[in-house]
Amino acid sequence: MKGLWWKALTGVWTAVAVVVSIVYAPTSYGFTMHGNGAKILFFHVPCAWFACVGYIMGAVYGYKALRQMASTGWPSGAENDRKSAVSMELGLIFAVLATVSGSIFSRNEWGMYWSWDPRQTSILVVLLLFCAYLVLRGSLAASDIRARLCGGYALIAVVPAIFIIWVLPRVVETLHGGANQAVVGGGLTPAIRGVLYGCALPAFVGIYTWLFQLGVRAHRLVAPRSEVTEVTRA
Amino acid sequence: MPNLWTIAIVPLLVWAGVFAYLITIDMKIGRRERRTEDDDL
Repeated sequence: MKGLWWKALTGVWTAVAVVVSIVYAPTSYGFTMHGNGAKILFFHVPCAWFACVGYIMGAVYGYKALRQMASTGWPSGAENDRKSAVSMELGLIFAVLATVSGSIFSRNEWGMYWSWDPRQTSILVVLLLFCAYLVLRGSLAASDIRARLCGGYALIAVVPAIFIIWVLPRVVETLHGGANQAVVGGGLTPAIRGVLYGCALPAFVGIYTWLFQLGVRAHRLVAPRSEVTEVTRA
Repeated sequence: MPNLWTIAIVPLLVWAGVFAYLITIDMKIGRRERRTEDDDL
């Protein structure tokens, strides 16, 4: 297996991150379960971040695919189109995980699974944007037309996604006020920031990279041979 | 409030399952890739 060392490292690192996040991370004042209720954030926050990484990477690869197709025609953009599709698929998975873990946190801390908080609504809209991409992709059979339309969609969808994730929850009243501060550097103690950035985030980087690589390889296997070999020659 | 190790065991088991699944899929894809390369030759 290629890259066995970093895949094994991801496995061990993630197991250690789980233990550190739950058992050894300090408790947070003002949360339920004697301050342990906040620890789900070590999972929830990286999931939300990687949902964002998914749609940004999807747009970047979509743009690259469109540019290649515009200059040298199909199937020169096929590889980037596959990467764009995998990014959007991973974005959907991480958005679902962020939504589910966020709902559990919300039930625990605020008393309701769903309260139409601006940030909850924004992740739901992003989730629907990912779903729409996959529906569009699944509805088109011709590879070149699919790559053009999906690349264009990924590029256009990133604009409202950026607005509703990064701008909207900061300009209206939200239950996530503390989280907004945390992202810009305040609100978290150094110990919690250490666990989040030094432990949970690298584990998610490893998992995302692995899933991305697997996704691209799987897409390459089911693609027509002419598209794959053309790319290899180019 | 249960022991934190008791809580940690659940995500650890979930991760063990996911990790085993990823390794299996990785090996399966690797085998398919080798077979496709042989066919191309």
